[in-house]
Amino acid sequence: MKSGITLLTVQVVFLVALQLVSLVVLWAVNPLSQGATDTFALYLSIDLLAFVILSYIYRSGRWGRVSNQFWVALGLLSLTVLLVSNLVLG
Amino acid sequence: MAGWVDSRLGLSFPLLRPVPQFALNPFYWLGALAVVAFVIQGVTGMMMMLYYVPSPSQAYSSTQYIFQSVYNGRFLETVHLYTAYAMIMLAFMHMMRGYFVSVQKKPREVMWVVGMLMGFVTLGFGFTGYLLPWTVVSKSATDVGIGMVSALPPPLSSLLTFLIVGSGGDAAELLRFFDLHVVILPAVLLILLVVKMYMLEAHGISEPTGGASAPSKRKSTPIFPDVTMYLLELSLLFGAGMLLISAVFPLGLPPEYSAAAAQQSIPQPDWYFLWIYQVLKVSIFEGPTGLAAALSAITLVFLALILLPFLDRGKTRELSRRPVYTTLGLVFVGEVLMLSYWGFTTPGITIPVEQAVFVIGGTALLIAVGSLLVYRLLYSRAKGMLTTAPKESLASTEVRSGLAFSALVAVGALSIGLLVNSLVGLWLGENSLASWLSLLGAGALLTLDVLGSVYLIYRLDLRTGTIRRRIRSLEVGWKN
Repeated sequence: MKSGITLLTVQVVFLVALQLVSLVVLWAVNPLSQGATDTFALYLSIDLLAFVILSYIYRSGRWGRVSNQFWVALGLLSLTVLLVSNLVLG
Repeated sequence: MAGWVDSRLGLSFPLLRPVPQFALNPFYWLGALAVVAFVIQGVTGMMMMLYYVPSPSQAYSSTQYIFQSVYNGRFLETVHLYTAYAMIMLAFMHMMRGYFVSVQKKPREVMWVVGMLMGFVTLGFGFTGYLLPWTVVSKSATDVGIGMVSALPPPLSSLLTFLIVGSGGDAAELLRFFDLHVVILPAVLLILLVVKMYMLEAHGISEPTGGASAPSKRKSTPIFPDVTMYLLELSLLFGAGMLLISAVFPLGLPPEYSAAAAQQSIPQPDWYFLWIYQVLKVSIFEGPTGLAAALSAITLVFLALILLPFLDRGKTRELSRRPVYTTLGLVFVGEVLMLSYWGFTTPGITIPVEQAVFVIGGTALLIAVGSLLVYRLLYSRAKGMLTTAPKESLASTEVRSGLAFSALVAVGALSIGLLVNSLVGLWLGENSLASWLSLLGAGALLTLDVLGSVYLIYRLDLRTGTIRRRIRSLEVGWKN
């Protein structure tokens, strides 16, 4: 029996969770110093990028196509790099 | 959910045409991204306007206040500046893409002219916005710009001087620049945008230059939600890129303007005016007559661009049948890039006329000869041969090859400029190690660029099926 959980579901859940985390950080950070401004900019870009990937997955589904896993993987890799660089810089 | 939003807001009401599949390609949306940049500019600019005071005594301190004390102020300033740069860059890329694929041909001549006017307004945003922080760099460079405007022919110079300086004095100048930047230019740009959008809806998106595309590529895609989402993805990707650049290259505020500080600094415009600045630094253009001659020549270049649809009267849009205009376009891009780089590396240094002739002329000559040779090679190869590859599979190749070609043209123009400049330097007696290294580096870069271009053209030819003979040495590491 199939579990119903696909790679796509995992990606979507991960992306939504990531957006929630980035939103919390965006509200928490007080961007008056340069470092805090950079953190703010990086988390906002994570938020936007996650939305782009979600939208791409949704749009591909609407057009009856399977989303190109290369682009999704590239997007997820970029998100990971951004998160790690944020943690390192932070 | 999309259906609910659409039924309530009527977003799929046929106000905008559906978009053909072939237009779902980032190169078709460069102008739209410039508009997105304009919107970001508007939002961040309005927020900064709450704190900014357009008077010489408070402009700098209020900018400093935004930087240091306003919540997210530093972020707003940085994003505003980088998005402005992106807007100018996108507008330039949009124009050059339009030039190379001949969007200006019948019936879109007036659209081209309106687009060019929008481009000038965009440059006007850059010019007026540069002064507002009232830093020593911005004020000195703007004064040079105002001096240039005064050197234009009488009716034009007095009109422009009145518009941008007013009755004279720093306070009037800053206020005029502020008004132009936040009220007049945005209003003009919005009006032009509405006119251009109307014409776009009337004429539709221009087809790819290859003529009729495959039926599946002509299929319409509704504006909402599909095209809207596509554009949203591009816009957010662009926004994320801007944020990353802002984080990696944080903005600092240069010192405040004062007459004494201005004496110490070398006025240099922002990067988008550097090519004009470099032309004006050529020794022959010094003095009022020389300046007027240089400005007239630059005005002629702009006029030629505006009137392009009425100059290039040929009916064909295909690149393979427009060698002269394509070569002219490549020379223009090459010269702008080369002069900008040269201007950036030689601030305040007057260029001897013979050096300028060799570098500017040499760059133009090399690009023209190279372009025409490649043209002849490609055209003769393509002539009489049938395309065997299906056109549907070419969309992503077009994007990748477009990006690669843009990069190759940029690197090629810079390396040619550097090469010619090093040669002229050595010829004029600058026999130093640095000159020889520069010559070798530029030669190596140009060689790599030429090899890269040949490889790319070969791959593209192979893909489109317009190849006569396979060259195995260029296929090392290929699977098939």
